[in-house]
Amino acid sequence: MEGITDRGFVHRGDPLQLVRDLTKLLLEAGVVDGIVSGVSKEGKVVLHVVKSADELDEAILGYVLVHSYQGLESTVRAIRDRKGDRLAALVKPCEARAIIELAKRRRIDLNSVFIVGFDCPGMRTNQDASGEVMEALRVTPGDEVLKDACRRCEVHAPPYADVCVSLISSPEVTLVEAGTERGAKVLETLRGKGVIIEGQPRELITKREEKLRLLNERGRRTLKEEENKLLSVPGHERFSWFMGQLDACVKCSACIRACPICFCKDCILISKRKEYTPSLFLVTRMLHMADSCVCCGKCDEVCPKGISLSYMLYHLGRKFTSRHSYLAGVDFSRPPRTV
Amino acid sequence: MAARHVEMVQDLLELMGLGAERVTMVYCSSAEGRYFADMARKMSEKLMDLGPNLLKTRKVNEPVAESRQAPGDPPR
Ligand code: SF4
Ligand code: SF4
Ligand code: SF4
Repeated sequence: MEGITDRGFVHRGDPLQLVRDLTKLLLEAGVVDGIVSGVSKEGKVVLHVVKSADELDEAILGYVLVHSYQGLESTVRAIRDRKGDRLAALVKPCEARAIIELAKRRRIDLNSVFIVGFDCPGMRTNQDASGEVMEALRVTPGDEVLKDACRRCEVHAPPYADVCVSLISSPEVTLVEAGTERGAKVLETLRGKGVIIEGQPRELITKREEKLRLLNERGRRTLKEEENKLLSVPGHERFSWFMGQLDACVKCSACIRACPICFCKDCILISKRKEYTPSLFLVTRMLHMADSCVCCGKCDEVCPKGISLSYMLYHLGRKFTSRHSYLAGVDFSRPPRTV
Repeated sequence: MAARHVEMVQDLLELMGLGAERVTMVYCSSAEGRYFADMARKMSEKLMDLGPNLLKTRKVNEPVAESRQAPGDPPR
């Protein structure tokens, strides 16, 4: 057929069904032992690892696409803390980047994780998982409802995934691609079952690429604007703004426990909490991990004091990493900057 | 890798409006005692010029920004 490339696959219809079929296959074929997903509990979405195909119907698989679920545990941390289990995870690009960063530091074994990555136009603030989350992914929300971190996100497609799913190019058609040999095998089986069709319309591929380009550009533009604005403020004002933020910290360590990157087994800030002043607490955390922050904004969400954590972390991190041309979690071949 | 950490600290000070010159790193071997002393003197002179650290002289309990607002942002 004209305009169809042999690259990848397409799925027509409900993308949630595609995810169900895919995860079911992963469990039944024994590719993984569990799927990291969510379940609804007392009106809240909590993380849950689904171990059998029957359980899948109950699970909230769109859970991964929701940024602001109420629990502290994140998908990435679930994978990291359940070493030994082979798990599949549905992740956004920022989470895929966190997985890459942790794999580089040998905290996650990529052989035991099957990553299903989604293109992501950005998450809305405080979105509830019970809503039509998948639907939300199709639209490009206006900047006013986007999370701060998503506005400055520079990577809207997963840099690494076994299977990549893209809903952003068309409301009816979902593009599906394999990123690894493992992923290719799984997709071949799905094709055999008639869930997906081989080949992608060239027009949709172009649309996807164009959309990704615009989204990534939006991130870089926001970063530049924020930086220019910051530098235009005189030093002493900048200083009192920063100190206002740092002093507000109550050392609850919610941001540490929610961050996919904070990976130390024995966090000195938690064990020696009393010895730190609030500002030193935050400065220590920033200096520890700003170079590998993937800009997911999880910390912003959990901070009870509303401190602009991702703002400070990302601007510090970018300053440092742009000098070493290192962007966290996009390239396996580059070792972390401060290790 | 200490150099990278020093860099990061300098970045943070710069970002906060304190100026990166407050931290420096010099390389010298144990045989270079004189060089070390010179560098230390230079640095302390520079710090004198820079004036006291704002971190030390600031009043505690300055107004705390509770809103997610960056410096230079119009009020939301
Ligand atoms: S930071 Fe936001 S826009 Fe970027 S991948 Fe994560 S959720 Fe999506
Ligand atoms: S510091 Fe915040 S924005 Fe950065 S990776 Fe951790 S949770 Fe995400
Ligand atoms: S979540 Fe907020 S208040 Fe709690 S430790 Fe982190 S920055 Fe401090």
